[in-house]
Amino acid sequence: MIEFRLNGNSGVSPYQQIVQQVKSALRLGRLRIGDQLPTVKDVVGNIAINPNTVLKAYRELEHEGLVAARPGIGTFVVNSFDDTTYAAQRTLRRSLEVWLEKARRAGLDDESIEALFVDTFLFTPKEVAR
Amino acid sequence: MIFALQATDLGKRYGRKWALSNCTLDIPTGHVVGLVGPNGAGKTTLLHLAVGLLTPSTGAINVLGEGPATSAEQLGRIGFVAQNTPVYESLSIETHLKMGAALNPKWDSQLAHRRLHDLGLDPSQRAGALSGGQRAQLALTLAIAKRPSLLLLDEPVAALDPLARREFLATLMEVVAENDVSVILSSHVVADLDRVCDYLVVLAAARVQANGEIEDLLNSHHRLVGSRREVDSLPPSAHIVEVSHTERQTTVVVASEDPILDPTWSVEPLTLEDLVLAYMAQAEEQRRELVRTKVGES
Amino acid sequence: MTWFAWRQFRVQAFLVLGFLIAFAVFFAITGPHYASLFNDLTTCKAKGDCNSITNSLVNGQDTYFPFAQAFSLVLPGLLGMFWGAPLVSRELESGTYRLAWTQGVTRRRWVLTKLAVVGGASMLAAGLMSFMLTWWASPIDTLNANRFSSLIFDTSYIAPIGYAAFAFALGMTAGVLWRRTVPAMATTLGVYIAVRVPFFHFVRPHLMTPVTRVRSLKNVGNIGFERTQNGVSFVAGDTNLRNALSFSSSIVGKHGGEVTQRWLGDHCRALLLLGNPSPGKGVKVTTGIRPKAFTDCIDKIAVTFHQVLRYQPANRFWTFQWIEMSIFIVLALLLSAFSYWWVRRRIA
Repeated sequence: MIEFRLNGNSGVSPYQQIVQQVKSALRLGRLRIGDQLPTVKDVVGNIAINPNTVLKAYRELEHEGLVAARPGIGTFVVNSFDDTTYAAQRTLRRSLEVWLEKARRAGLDDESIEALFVDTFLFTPKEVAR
Repeated sequence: MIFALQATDLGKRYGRKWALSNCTLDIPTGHVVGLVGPNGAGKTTLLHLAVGLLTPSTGAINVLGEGPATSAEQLGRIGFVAQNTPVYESLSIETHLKMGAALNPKWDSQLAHRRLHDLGLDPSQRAGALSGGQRAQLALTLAIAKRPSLLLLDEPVAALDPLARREFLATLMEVVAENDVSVILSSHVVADLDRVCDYLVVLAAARVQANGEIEDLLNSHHRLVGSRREVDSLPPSAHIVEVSHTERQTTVVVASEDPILDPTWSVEPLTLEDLVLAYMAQAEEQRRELVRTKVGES
Repeated sequence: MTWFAWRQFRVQAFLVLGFLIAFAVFFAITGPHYASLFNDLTTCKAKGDCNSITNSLVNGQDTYFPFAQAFSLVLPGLLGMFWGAPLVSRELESGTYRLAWTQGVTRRRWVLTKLAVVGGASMLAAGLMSFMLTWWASPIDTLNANRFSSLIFDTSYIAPIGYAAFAFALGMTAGVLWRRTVPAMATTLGVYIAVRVPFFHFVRPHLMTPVTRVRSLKNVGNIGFERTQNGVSFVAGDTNLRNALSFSSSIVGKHGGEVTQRWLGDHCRALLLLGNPSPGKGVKVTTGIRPKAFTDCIDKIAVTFHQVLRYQPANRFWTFQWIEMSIFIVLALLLSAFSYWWVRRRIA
C-alpha cells in the first residue's frame, strides 16, 4: 500500500503532491491495476492533512480515469500508464545513471546538477517527433 | 442553512477594554476552520462565547443554530477542548470517561475505550500523571465520544512537542474523515493550521481581519513587488492589506478579485502564512498608531 | 450529575466519615457503662453511697466529654471550610470549570446538584455527630442540669444541623466570590465565627421574651457579703436554675432600689463591725458557720428586697432548638440562592 509524504516547502499544494505521488507510483509500477488506494482515514492518520484534500486528489485521479471509487469498499486503480513505458524506463534509468556519473566527475555539485536538469527539462519542447 | 457558528456584531468587554469587538462571522458547517491570531487577539474569548462560558457584552452568537449553553442537548452537540486541556488531576482516566457518560446525552463508550486502547493509555492512571500530549488526547477523547456535530478546540497543540502535535492533529483528521463533524480550532502558529484547515478566520486586535475558505483567500490575495512608489495607482477594487517600503522597492499585499494588470508590478503568490502575517502586521501597526496618537494627545 | 458530584466529593466525605465512625465506636463502647451508672443513681440513695457513683460518672465523662464536644462544636465550621469553600472555587481556580460546564449538563443543574449533595451531606454529618454526642452525654448532662447553657445547647440535637447548613452555604458563597480556595476558606471560618459567637451571646437570649420570676431571699442559697474598698457589699451568687438559660438576675427592692452601702450602714451595723478582713476579701456564708450578725442582716434584707430572675425556662429548650436551627437554615438558603444566582449570571 502506498504511503504519501508531504513536502511543506516544495511550493506544490498538498493535493497536487498526492496526485503526483499516485501517478509516480503508477509509472514506476509500485501501484498496479486492481490495487486499493489507502482510505482517506488512513492517509490523514498518517500525514495530518484535511480529508477534503485527499478527497480532492482522489477525485482528480478519478476524473483522469486512473482510479475509480467503489462506495463502501474503497478507491481502486483501474488504469495505468502505457505498459510499454516500463521497458523504456529501465533503459532510460541506466542512461540517467551514466549521465549523473559524468556530471559528478565534471565537478558539478548536487544543486548545479539539479538546476541543469530542471532548466533543460523546462526549456525542451514537449512534443516529440514520432 | 445551519451555520456552525454565526456571530452578529459580537463583542465582549472587560471594564473598558474590549477583548472582542464588531465580530461578524458566518462559518458554514462541514469545514475544518482555523482561528488564527496573536495572543490576546480574542480567540479564547470567541470560543468561550461560543460554548457559553462567557456572555456577550454586545451582539449575538449562535452555534449550530441555537444560542450557546441553552440546554443539555445543545451542550451535548458541541465538544470543547479548553486551552491547556483541563482535566481532574486526582481522578483516573476511567472516571473521566464515566463522567462523560453520566453528563452527556449521547455518549459512545465503545469509541472512547477504543481510542484509549489505540493510544496505549491505561484507564486506571490518574489524569494528573499524564504527559501533555496524553492529556490533550484524553481531552480530545472526552470531546469526540460525545458524538458532537461541532468540535471547538482552543490552542490544542500549543504546549505539545512536535510528535505529540502531529499525532494530535492526525487523530483529529481521522475523526473528521470518519464523522460528519465540523471543527473550529485556534492557534497562534499558522503552520499548525496550514494543512488541516480549509477555512480561515484571522483575528487580531480583538477584531476579525479576514475570513473565508482558504482556497478563495489564496486566490484573491497577491503580493505585488515594484519600484518604490505610492500605492494609489492600484485599482479601487484592490484592498490593501500591508505596505512596506525599502529604499528602492515597495511591496504590497492586496486582496483583489480583479487581476492586477499594471505591468510595473510583479505579482507573486502568497503562502497562507504570508497572508496571515500581513493581516496581523497591519492590525499591530494600527494598534501602535492608536497608542502613539493617544500618547501624543496626553 | 448526582453521581459525579458525589465522586468528586468522595475523599473529603470519607475523611469526615472516618472521624464520625471513630466517635461512634467510642460512644458505643463507653456509653452503656455511663448509662448504667446513671441508672444506679436512682437506687443508690437508699444505700447512701451515691457520691462514689456520681464521682465516677463525672470524672469519667468529664475527661472525654470536652474532646467530643469540641469536635462537635467546630464540625460545622470545618465542614463549611473544607466542603463548602472548595465546592465551586476549586473548579474556578484550576480551570476545570471549562470542562465541567461544557458537558451535557446546564450550569443550573451543575450548581443545584452540587449544592444538594454536599450541603445535604454537611447537614447529615453534623446531625449524626450531634445526636450521637447528645445520647452519650445524657447522663452527665442530666446530672449537671445545664442543657440550655451555650456549649451544651450548641452541640445538642438539631441546632448543629442549622449551623452546618449555614457554614456550608457560607463556604460556597465565599468560594464563588473569591474564585480561589484559600481565601474562601479563611473567609468562611472568619465569618462563621463572627456570626455564631455574637449570636449565642446576644441573640439567643432574646429569641423569646424571658420569663420573670421573683424569689424571696430566704429561699436563695449562696448569698453573702463582700468587703470592698468602700465597705461591704451584698452579693448573691449565681442561681442554679436547672436546665434553664439564665438571662439576668438581680436583687431589687420590692418598691425599687438596691442594697446600697448606705442601706447596709443603716440597717446592719453589727455586721460591719464583724472582724476586719482585708479589703477585697469576702466574708462568705458557709453552712454551719453563720454568725448571728449575718443572719440578722439577711433577714432584714429579705424583708425589703427580693431576687428578680429573668430566664428562659427548661421547657423552652426544644422551641429554641427549632427556632435557632430554622434561623440558620434560612440564612443558608439565602446564601445558597445568592451563590446560585452569582454562578449562573455573573461568572461569564
